Amino acid sequence: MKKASMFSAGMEKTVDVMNYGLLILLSLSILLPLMNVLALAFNVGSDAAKGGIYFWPREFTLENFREVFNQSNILNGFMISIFRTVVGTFLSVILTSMAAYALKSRTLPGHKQLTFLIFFTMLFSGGIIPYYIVLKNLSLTNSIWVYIIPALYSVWNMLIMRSFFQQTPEGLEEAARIDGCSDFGIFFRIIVPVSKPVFATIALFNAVEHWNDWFTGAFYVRDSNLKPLSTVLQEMLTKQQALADTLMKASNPAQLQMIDKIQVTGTSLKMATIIIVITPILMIYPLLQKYFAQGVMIGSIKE
Amino acid sequence: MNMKLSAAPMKRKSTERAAGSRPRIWNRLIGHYQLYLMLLPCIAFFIIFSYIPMGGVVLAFKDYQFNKGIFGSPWVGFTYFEMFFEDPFSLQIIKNTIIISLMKVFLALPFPILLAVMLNEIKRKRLLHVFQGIAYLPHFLSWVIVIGLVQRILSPDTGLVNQVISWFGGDGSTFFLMKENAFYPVMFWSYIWKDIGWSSIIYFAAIVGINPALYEAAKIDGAGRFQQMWRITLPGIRPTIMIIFILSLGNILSAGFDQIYLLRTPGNMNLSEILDTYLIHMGLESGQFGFGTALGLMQGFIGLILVLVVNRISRKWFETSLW
Amino acid sequence: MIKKSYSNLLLLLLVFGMVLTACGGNDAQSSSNSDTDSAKKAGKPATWIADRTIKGLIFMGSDVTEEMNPDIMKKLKEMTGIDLQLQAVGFDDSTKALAAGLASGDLPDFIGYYLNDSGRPEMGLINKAASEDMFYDVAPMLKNTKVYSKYLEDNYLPIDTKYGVMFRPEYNGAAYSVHINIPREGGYGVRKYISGPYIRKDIADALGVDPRKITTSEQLYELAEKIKAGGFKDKNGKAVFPIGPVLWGGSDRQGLYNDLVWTGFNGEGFKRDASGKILHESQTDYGLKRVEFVQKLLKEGLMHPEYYTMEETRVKEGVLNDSFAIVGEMHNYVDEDKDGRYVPLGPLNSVDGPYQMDLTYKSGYGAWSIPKSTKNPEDIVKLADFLATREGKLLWNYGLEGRDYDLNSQGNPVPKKQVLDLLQKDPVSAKKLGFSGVGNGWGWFLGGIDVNDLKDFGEATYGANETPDQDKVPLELAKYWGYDEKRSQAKVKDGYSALAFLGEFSKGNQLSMALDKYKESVVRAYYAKDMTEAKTILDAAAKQLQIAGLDDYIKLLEEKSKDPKTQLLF
Repeated sequence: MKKASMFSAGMEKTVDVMNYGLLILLSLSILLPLMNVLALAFNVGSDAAKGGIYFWPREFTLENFREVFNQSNILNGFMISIFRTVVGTFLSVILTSMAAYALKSRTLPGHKQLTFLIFFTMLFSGGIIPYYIVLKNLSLTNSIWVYIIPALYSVWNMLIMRSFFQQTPEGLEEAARIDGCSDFGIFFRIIVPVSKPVFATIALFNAVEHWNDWFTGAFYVRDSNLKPLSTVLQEMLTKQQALADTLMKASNPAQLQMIDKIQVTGTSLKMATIIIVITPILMIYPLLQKYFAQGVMIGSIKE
Repeated sequence: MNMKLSAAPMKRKSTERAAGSRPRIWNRLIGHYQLYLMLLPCIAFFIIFSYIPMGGVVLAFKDYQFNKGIFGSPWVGFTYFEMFFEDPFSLQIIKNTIIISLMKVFLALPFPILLAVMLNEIKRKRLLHVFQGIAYLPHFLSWVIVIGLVQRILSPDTGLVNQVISWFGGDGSTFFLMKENAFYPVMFWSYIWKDIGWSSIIYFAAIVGINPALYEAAKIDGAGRFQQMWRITLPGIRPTIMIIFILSLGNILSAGFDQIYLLRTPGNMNLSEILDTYLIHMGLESGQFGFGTALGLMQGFIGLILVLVVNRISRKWFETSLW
Repeated sequence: MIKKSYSNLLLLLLVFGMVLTACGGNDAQSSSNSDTDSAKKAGKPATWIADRTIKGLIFMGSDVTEEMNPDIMKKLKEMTGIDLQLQAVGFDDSTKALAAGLASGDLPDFIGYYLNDSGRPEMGLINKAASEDMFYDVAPMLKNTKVYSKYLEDNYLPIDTKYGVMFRPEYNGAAYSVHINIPREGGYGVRKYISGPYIRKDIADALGVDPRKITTSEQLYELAEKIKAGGFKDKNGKAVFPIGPVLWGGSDRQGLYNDLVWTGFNGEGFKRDASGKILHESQTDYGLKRVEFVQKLLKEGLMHPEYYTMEETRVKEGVLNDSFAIVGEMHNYVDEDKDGRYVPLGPLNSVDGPYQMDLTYKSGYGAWSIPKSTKNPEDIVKLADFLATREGKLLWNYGLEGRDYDLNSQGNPVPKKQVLDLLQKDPVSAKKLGFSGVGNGWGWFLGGIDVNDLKDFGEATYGANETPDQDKVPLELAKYWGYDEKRSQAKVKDGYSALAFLGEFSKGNQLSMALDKYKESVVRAYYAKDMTEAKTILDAAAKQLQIAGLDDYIKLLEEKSKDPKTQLLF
């Protein structure tokens, strides 16, 4: 055995070198373009338009960010986004995980049928109009709850959670049941603590989805005070795009007259918004990462 | 070891079924009332937000009229389906869609798994966090940005790739995006680049969840790192891989609108027309609700058939299934 | 198991289907008008309408500014009693949002939407909604208006607006959609736009070429060769590309080789031949001629390889760096040419011979409708009419007298200097003043008709008299090009565009797709390895057009052109 490990020591090194090499290559392929985004975001727009900016701004400015924050409802949008992300993620993770746990139980009559029926909704939908009518009849359109309630469950997340729960050893639950634990008790005392990486993962998925979703705000909400950050930014960028489109048509003088007064900062503005969207996610990421690395405690329990 | 875990309940189930009589089912229903409580909001949710709107699928067979509503509008039978299949483009479009999404489902599958395994090999926590954090970033860039980048890198003469080619004495003027045979590689690798990190999260969580005792045992048996990966890590995350694979099959006929739309050039138009771009062409927005719904229904059915088949196979061979 | 799930599902569907019908039936309610307002009217200004809130939903997301300036809204309230609230939807896709809004019946007092002409895809949707009883008939309400009543005069509206958008024959005199941005006179235009290829002036001078003498594609080719041989450099010291893409991003536009394009009136590809027969380009050999020309340019490195696909930012980058000797297309008002470095080239001849300016008689840009769920439809028409009067236009174009402008001796508005300065320095803050001159055109959605700013306000664009220099370069270029002379010989045409009847054509969608494919195929053929391959590509596209019913569509066009109510633009 000693021989084997000595033999593999050299091998281990090569594996490590290859591993690090590939990861560094991947990281560079991601970081370099992002440095470019960063450099453009902090460069004067008109100067950047001349090209030649790679990884460092040539004429440094905060003007692009100022311009974005000048959008009147951006701070309001920020608050809405935080609200929906925090509340939405919290509720969604709790409810999804409970449902996933219940569906996992193989002794539960109807669990297969229910799983199928839930999965089925992923494949078929009646399209946007019936959905809109339902939201309207529930008075959800033009309300802040339209961000939270229709997003409480996601089939994808639920089935993934279920598959993770299925892999926790049955012994743990059996033992708890013998100790007189109810299903709720088992879920909160046993399942939740041992499944931290899953919870962290699904929470991250959920939070990012909430944070990035601009469609709901653009489509089901008309009150501009209820629009989340992503929608506000998306609308700002579409405005820039519309400017370009209108110029291209150049058929309507009256419209052009209106549009000429707004200054176009185009690309630089876009880059600044990317930074603004990514930063908060980057900030919550380390908080969740703690739970990823923690691993599970299954090992400590004797099967 | 893991096998044993999942095999055990299967056995128990079959004995239960044999003994299954009415009172036992009642007992089980009542005994599980807490689990049903956990499911109650979930069931209500899917009824309200999925099944009620799903009634709208009848639009696939109706000529929708604003004043008559979904159920009052007149029936048109299979008109929309006939319209689609009479169109000389439709077969090509279905073919394109399937090829693109098969590449994304099958060929792309190993990459995030590999990344997760590679990340797991990094023992220094801090370094691991840095690599992970970086790998997730492209997920947050929109396709417009990513494709813009691709265009720059691949542009004739001035692009990075062509400069490298001419550095080695080749002809550096290839216009890759106008070339039909460059479409699939460009589509595939840009997809991998953007999503590899994000998709690896779930596999990484699965790897972290593997019982460390298994690795200890393997080490004692003298297994090297490759053997550990092969014998413990991969089987350990197999249920996760299968579930994600089956779930992605359900979406097989939506090949991802943004990316394909942005990569379209006249040069690759025979490969890049997919169902989603087709819908735009057919003027779905101009009130052709029925036609759009009909196509959606078709997508759903193909997804359903695939999932049913693969789920069955998976249950037989890997003892993992959706239901 | 699966079978069981299906039967469960079916049951569910049935139950919820019934629930859904129960919910969907009560959309179209209209309640009686309250006539108490007329009593209150006493002691109010002549412009008074009624004391209410009117909500408008505008499906032109990117053009709408939702926040209004409170002082301006107060003024509107004082004058009319109306509290106007605008909301915008559909930033990404206005038409889809419009479809969803209509389908769910979730609409406020009035809606506004894009509509250039009756051939636009939105028209199908609006027409459907109108015939399915979603909107009020505004025709009787328009009768008692000051400005909008012009719409009922015989020759005010262009043919397409009259018979295609508003008073469609099948409505028997009713009108459900009101087209806006119709100018007072035919052929009205504020600016002197010259769009087409532009050339760097210094290069033209160095070569001793007068860009205005380039009138054929052959001459353009020779010019490009000379540029290449001349070894000109851009601002970074790199060799220039003789021909670079269209400024707004690579695309196939006709200006560069106008004598090789069977373009038709709006570049739709339909045109009459010498004998008066309507033909599509795929039925002529111009596609092939153009392919030959472009292949020559590409092979000899005279045209940028990414001419047809380059992203907008990269084109602009190239133009700012002077990297293209000739720019495929731009116009004289673009920011990138504020200093007049680039001058217009040509114009090139068309397939019919020397250049001829064509103008449309009048054209619309948007439209509004009043949903059946609205309680007081007359008030919206009245408000629209008020906003279309000079008094109303003054409010939404120039803001408040004393705060934003003063009146001069002729009674025309003179914008205050501090407003103009603010507009230059900080357009975002200036916009908050809340009128069209500073970028918030809230009144345009209802009142943007009967446009003629020069007559109404003594200047063609906001602040033009106070800042005469702002259009100096564009106007110089217009002079250089001979705009006024060409304009005086322009043909002003009224009628329908070639694609206006796709909606009523049975294979309309298929044909529209085949037409797009044809355009893409031509570009594909530019990059084919030889002319044989190019010909195969074009032949395939032409064949697809045949399958999609091109011949029948042309027959339909010929038929339509015989009826004066549906005459064509060409």
